[in-house]
Amino acid sequence: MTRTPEPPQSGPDPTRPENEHDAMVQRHKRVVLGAAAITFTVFMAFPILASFTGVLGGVADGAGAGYAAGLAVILLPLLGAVAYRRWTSRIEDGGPR
Amino acid sequence: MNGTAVAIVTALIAVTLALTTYASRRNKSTAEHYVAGGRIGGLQNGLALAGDQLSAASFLGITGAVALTGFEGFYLAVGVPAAYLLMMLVIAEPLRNLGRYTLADAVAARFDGRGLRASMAVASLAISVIYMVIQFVGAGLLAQLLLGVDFPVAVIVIGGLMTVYTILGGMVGTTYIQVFKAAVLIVTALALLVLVTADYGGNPLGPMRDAAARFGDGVIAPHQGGLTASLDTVSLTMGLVLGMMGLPHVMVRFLTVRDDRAARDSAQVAMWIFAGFFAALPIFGYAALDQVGKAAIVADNKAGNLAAPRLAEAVGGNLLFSIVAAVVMVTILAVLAGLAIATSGAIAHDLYTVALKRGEVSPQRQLLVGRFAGAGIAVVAILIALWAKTLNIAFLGNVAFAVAASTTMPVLVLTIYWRHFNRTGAVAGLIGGLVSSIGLVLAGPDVMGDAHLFPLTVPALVSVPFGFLCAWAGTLAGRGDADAAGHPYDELARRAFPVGGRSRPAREAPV
Repeated sequence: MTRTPEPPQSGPDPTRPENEHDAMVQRHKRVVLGAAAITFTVFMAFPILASFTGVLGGVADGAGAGYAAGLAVILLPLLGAVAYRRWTSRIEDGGPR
Repeated sequence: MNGTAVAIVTALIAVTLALTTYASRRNKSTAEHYVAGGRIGGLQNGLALAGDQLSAASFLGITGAVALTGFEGFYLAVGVPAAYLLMMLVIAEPLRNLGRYTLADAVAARFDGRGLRASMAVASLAISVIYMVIQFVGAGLLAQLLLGVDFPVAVIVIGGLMTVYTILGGMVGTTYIQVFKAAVLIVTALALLVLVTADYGGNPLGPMRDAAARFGDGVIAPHQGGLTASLDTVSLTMGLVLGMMGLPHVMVRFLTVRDDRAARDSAQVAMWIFAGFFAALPIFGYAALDQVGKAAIVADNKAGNLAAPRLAEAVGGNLLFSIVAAVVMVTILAVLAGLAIATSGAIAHDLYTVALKRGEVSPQRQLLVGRFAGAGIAVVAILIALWAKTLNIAFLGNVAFAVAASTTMPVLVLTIYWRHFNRTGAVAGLIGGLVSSIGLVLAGPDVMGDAHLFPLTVPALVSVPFGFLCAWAGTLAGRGDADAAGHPYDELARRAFPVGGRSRPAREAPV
């Protein structure tokens, strides 16, 4: 029997001081958790407004305001994803943070 | 029996079997079996994520729900892109860097302990088996309705195919099948959209406008149905958007990618597909309402699950109906393949190799057990599906999301982000989340009917905060236990977030 071999591990740039990397990790965590909190709050506003209020109940020319808001809820995360991907790629490529 | 539909289903299944045979040449090690050796690129994994996520429940269920309930059905469609953004921001990269074959591996990177590993595996199994039963029952009923095949025959054939995919192809084969399924589903949905839009003078909003003109504006506007109904809607969408981050068969796909960049790319590719797909579903729903009619949709199936195939028949004749029916069957097979891999990983890797054998298992035996676990779980799921045929399983999907949002999601997030989190808190969060989410479903209206003790059909609004609360209380209770503290948090964080450094390379196949 052999023990399951450990996989190769990820890690910080070995040329960068540990405390500098820790500070970058803290900043990264703050950014992603903040962005996630905003995403969740904005998203949850949609079912709350639609089901508890009449704000999204309007209909104009056969198109519902609820669907317009829903389409925005579907498309806005794409913008967030594009922005996040660009930000992280810039950091990985050594650009400004 | 619809001969055209059966012929197309057979042809598509033949393609999936050919892909599995091709993939079997690469499925020689444990790492390849569970995570395709960690070598999948961003585009391929994005398509596979779409193949995993775009289930028959999404395509048929949401289209039917919009056709029958109007705006209420749309709530199910809006959450997926937001859920994937949360997944991309919070979990995808650290999970990829900490995990190995299963979700439990990521938690075990911080906390040792066979009890925690087993708890995580049990939560993963509960979620995956619920999801699997839904797919089996849905597939059996659809095969009965669309192809004229008996329910037990359909379930057993589908279970057999799932076993072949898992044993021979592993994650490599599953990835190929999911990419193939995503491609045929996208092409089919696009063809349907073009034909439907052409019927309305090229205006994609035409079906919605026609529905409003014929049935009143109320059919395209949200309803206010009282406090309980509104809370249920909020709970449903909350469970959906948070539960996605805890679904083992979805999250395990991030363990297959070659690096962090590929993890992000794959989430983004999947999100573009979801945005197009879910934005089109209300168009299909209202077009079905206009062209098929509510009475005919309900006559086929009370939940409206045949609205999409009937719409296809209305705009494209029996050929398009048969294509849609065949694509739906392949869709179910692809989702089941992903579920089988995630489930066999929880059994063979977490429970057998680590919790039972303490890691003292040769790579060859791990692979063998993984393959047998895939076959075993197929048998169990088939038996449950045969028993559950007469049950109303529509609510089980929401249960799976609520359980994931209340168990695996809080524990993964707190393991990665909370410095003071400990093993006692992780076990407490898993058990508290599992008991509260399942307990509240059992006490709710879907199970107890009018005598229900809990008013909501989806418990996420209560069980998610309760899962986090249990994790926090358990952490406080375990603060005096040095063993429960786990590995130093800063070391874990450096591995999880190699910001500006290197992410773990592709997993090398153990000999």
